[in-house]
Amino acid sequence: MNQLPLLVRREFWEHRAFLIAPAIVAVFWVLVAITAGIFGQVHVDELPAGLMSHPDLVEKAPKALAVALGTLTLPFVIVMGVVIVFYLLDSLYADRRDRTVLFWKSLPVSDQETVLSKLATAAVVLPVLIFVGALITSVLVGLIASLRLSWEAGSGIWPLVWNSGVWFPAIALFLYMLIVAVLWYLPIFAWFLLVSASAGRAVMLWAALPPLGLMFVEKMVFHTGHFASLLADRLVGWKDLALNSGADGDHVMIIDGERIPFSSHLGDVLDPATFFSSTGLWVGLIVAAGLIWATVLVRRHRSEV
Amino acid sequence: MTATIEMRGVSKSFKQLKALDNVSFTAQPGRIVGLIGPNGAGKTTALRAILGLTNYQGELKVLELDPYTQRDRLMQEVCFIADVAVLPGWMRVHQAVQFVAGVHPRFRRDRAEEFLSRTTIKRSSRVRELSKGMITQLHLALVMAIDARLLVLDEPTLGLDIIYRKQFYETLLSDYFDHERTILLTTHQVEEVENILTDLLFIDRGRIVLDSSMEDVAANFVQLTVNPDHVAAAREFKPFYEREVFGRTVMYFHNAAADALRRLGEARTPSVADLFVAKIKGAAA
Repeated sequence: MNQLPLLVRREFWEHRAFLIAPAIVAVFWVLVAITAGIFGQVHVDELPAGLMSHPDLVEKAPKALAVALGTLTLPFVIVMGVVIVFYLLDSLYADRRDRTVLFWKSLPVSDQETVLSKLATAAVVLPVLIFVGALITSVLVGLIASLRLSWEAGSGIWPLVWNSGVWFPAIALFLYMLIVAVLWYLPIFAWFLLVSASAGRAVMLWAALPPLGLMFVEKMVFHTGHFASLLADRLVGWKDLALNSGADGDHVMIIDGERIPFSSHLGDVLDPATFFSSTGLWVGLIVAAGLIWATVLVRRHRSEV
Repeated sequence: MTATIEMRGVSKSFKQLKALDNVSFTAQPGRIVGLIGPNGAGKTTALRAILGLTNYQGELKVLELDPYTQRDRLMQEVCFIADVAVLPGWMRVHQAVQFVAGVHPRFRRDRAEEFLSRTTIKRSSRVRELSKGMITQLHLALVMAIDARLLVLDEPTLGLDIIYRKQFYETLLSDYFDHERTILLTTHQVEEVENILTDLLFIDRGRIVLDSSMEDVAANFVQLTVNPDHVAAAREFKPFYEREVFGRTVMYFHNAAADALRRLGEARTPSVADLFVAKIKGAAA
């Protein structure tokens, strides 16, 4: 019997933030769009002939649209990123703290399935939710914007908003980045799960102190910073590998001060070959597998705080 | 018939402390076994080992499975209630039913619904909104709807009103228990379960100090309130424990000649609580 769907559902019952957090972001953007629509200054009495093919508009409108889509998406990623981190740290700790672990363990669900259901929730279901939430919101905001614009200038202006040459590559880029980032961050997810399964208290501290301590000790003893740069690479390294930063595209999204390129020619931007053949990815995945395995063993043994 | 629980030479230590010290016993189907001991005697550790929540040295088979490595399979046929506080507060009643129905192949949803319909519990309530008595009823409804072969109860009535306590055991006996199931329970309220137990297991400092059916207790143990002038004569029969009650000496005998003892005072079968005190204190002396 495959219990995974029910186990994941259970996580949604317990953590209502999974749905509330993206809903708040979505409502925020829709309100921003409506407010801008009401108070924004749009004065176009009638669409001038030849405007839609004016070189300035042809060049700048897609860029503006791509920037808008990137901007809409970013808060979903940030908010859900925070939700995922807190969820992972809490997932195997909260039930030990309030002793409900004894109830969960009285059911015929193996520790392996339990741990995997938490990982699947964080690494698959929640990223899908980020994607769907951002997509729906983008469409809603697009609808509001195009309704407002056509109020002034007629439906001739719609192709500016619904430029499929921007939408489809933007959606594909976003999906690609989500997948790549989750794979790259998997050892961090697994580390959080292990801490959550083993810590007696102060989960947050246990998650942060060992890496910081290791950095400190290395600095003191060897006067080097290999571990620190390893960690830094684990946080941002995927972008250099997975995206062709030299691509001749426009920069539309900025994450951690780094510009994410955008081009309607996806092939210029995505570099899956380099990413999937990188040592960093595979070493990370092996480390993640090891940490997950350790988490299952700890979960089997530790029923109490 | 194969035994439900078979423990042979099981030991478990926490640093210096020996929580279980070479413990052996078996529990058969159709029995209600009371595992009784002072705090820290190893009761909970024994239950944990049986439920696969802790590892141990020695040999232990529950329903012919190894609990520690096969917990998920074992839990298809074993239920346990640790204490009433362990249902998650965020869960709604209908979610609890749905979840157990989804993960438990032997759960009969209609039975759970029937038990619940006898209570005032609302399906949409969260567990944290229920009273302690209601949470017990919910937990019991979930557990009794599972066609399990072993039910383990660890202090199930702790913190409950006396009304719910009585109800708890009555429901258990009338609606759940039959000759194919085994119930293993621990409790501090020995008087409460005295009449429903079929077997007694006393545990003290990690060791089993008594393993007996209730019939054997009645046949083999005598509590004698000794007439003041026969104290010396009674001691000849080697009581394993004696104490003073209102100026009279009460002695406890195992396998002594009951007829001879009856001439020395008032003889009767000791209550479980008295026998427990006698056994633990007698062993300590």
